[in-house]
Amino acid sequence: MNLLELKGVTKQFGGLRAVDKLSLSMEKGEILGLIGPNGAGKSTAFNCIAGVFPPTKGEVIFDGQVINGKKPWDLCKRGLARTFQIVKPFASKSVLYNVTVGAFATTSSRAQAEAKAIKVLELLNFDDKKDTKSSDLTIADRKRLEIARALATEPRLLLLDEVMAGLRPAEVDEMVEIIRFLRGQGITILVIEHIMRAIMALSDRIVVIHFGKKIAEGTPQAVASDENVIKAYLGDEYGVS
Amino acid sequence: MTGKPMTGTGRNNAPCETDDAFLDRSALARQVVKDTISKVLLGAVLILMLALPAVISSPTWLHIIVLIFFYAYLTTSWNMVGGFAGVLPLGHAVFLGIGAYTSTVLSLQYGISPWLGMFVGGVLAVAAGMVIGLPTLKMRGAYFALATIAFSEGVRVMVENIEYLGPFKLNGPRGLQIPPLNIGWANFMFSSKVPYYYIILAMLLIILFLTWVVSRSKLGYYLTAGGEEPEAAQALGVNVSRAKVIAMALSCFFTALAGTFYAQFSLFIHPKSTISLDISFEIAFIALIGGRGSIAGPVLGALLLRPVSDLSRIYFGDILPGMHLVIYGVVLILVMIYQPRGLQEPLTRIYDRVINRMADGFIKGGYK
Repeated sequence: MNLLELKGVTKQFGGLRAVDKLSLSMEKGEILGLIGPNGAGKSTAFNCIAGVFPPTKGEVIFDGQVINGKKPWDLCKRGLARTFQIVKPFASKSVLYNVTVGAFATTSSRAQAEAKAIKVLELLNFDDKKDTKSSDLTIADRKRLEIARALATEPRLLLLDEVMAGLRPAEVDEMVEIIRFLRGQGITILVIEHIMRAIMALSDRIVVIHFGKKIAEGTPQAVASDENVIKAYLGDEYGVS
Repeated sequence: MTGKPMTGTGRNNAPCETDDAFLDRSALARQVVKDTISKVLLGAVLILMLALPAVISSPTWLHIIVLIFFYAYLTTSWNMVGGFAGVLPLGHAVFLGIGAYTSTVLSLQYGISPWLGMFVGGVLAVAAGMVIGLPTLKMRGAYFALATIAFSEGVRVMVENIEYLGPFKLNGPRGLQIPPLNIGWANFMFSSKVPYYYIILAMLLIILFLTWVVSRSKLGYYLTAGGEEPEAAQALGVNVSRAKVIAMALSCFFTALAGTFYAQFSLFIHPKSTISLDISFEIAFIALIGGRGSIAGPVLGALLLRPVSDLSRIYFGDILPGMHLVIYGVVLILVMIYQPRGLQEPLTRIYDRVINRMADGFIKGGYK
């Protein structure tokens, strides 16, 4: 059964159609990569799923229920968590405090929330930094904190928005390992990413969008050799004839 | 050849583990000693507070101290929404006024004890807080502040210009005088300042305890998260607006209780003395200088700034009324430049250092 399904999702900003009749589906336990050139509408599609704004047309179905127009905090409690492309830590607070906020999604007791937060930090080998103020973290650790916080809400579907952007190659490898590990825990993951090496290695399937429309879908190998994809990324003259 | 490194690591490992265990245990012992010292100090301060009226006989000084506690209480109430929730309410005096007028009207016209009127005022203040909070708490930064100022000033002008609100006599700009006829605990009225001192001390301790509880609860985490990064908080399951509305309700309720205290303490209220922007601004000044969003900040702020206000009124009152606000402004600018998180931060650091040194002394003393 599909955990997430988009049916003809369209998002219109005034005269601009940022996402145009996008349909896709994700099975449980799958890692789906969503790629496309800058301005293709990836983040808009992502925001429609995460409840930041409702789609103009079409349906977003999560776990068999239409979630159009549901608020982010409701979606979070149903098991849909996300990270932000531009990291947003609660800067004046410690790593543990940050993750505990996420853990409160499933409990009202501080002791329980804190225990769960520590468990999540241990899972990500991050517990040694639990008392560090989050504004003192490196960019790689801030991205990791984004994931830890989202994870603490006990998601079934995790939306990752460019968690590898700005990382060094060694850190990218580490992040790939983390994402694979999370899938091993039974979490379904939607990844937006610009680093091709990482997304090719990670994804079971890839959806490519361009000007808001889906132009290709399939395994990483199939997508990489798709004519439309090469055109979209490199321009018409590089198209394979 | 292969045996040597094995035994080497084996030998190294064993003491390492015991070292760790020893460090863990001594760190734990240290924490216990530090906690104990903190508790003893807190207890000492409490006893000092309880004994203070026995030491200070001058009513003037007691009056000044009562006002310090009064402002510490007001600012701590303000802090629930203005500190933790990350918005800047600048019209909190209106809730003070609602509390003062409600209990006073009820006791003057209907003979209801101010102790009861106090809570009626609290409930009315929550209702008023919802009227202003529900539509505006979603606004960011200055807009919420401006909305609260407008609301507070609007209410003041209305109260100044009406004699009767339905059956209730407000007496316009002349205000309400409470005749000191039935002195005693039942009527919240005393000839000495000492009972007032203990009442406001108890109120302050209760609100501080409550703030402590809230800051460690889910609501406290949600308020802080929503105040710092609303979008991220929402994605983590926080209904930011709802948390802010709850904080606003709590804040309004406790601010109104202070209104009743003020009315019974001064036995005379009028719109300018209760629903005034001066008070609203002074609360915000105290919070910002002391440290918003911390528990100690409002108390420290009141402790440092109230004497400035009283002394400047005593010495500059005739020549330069409002001098204290100028001094506040200068202090605020300096604090914002050098200690943007308020004076509580450096003072907490110093306090920690002192506690650590004392703990060291105790532990060393214990081993000898």
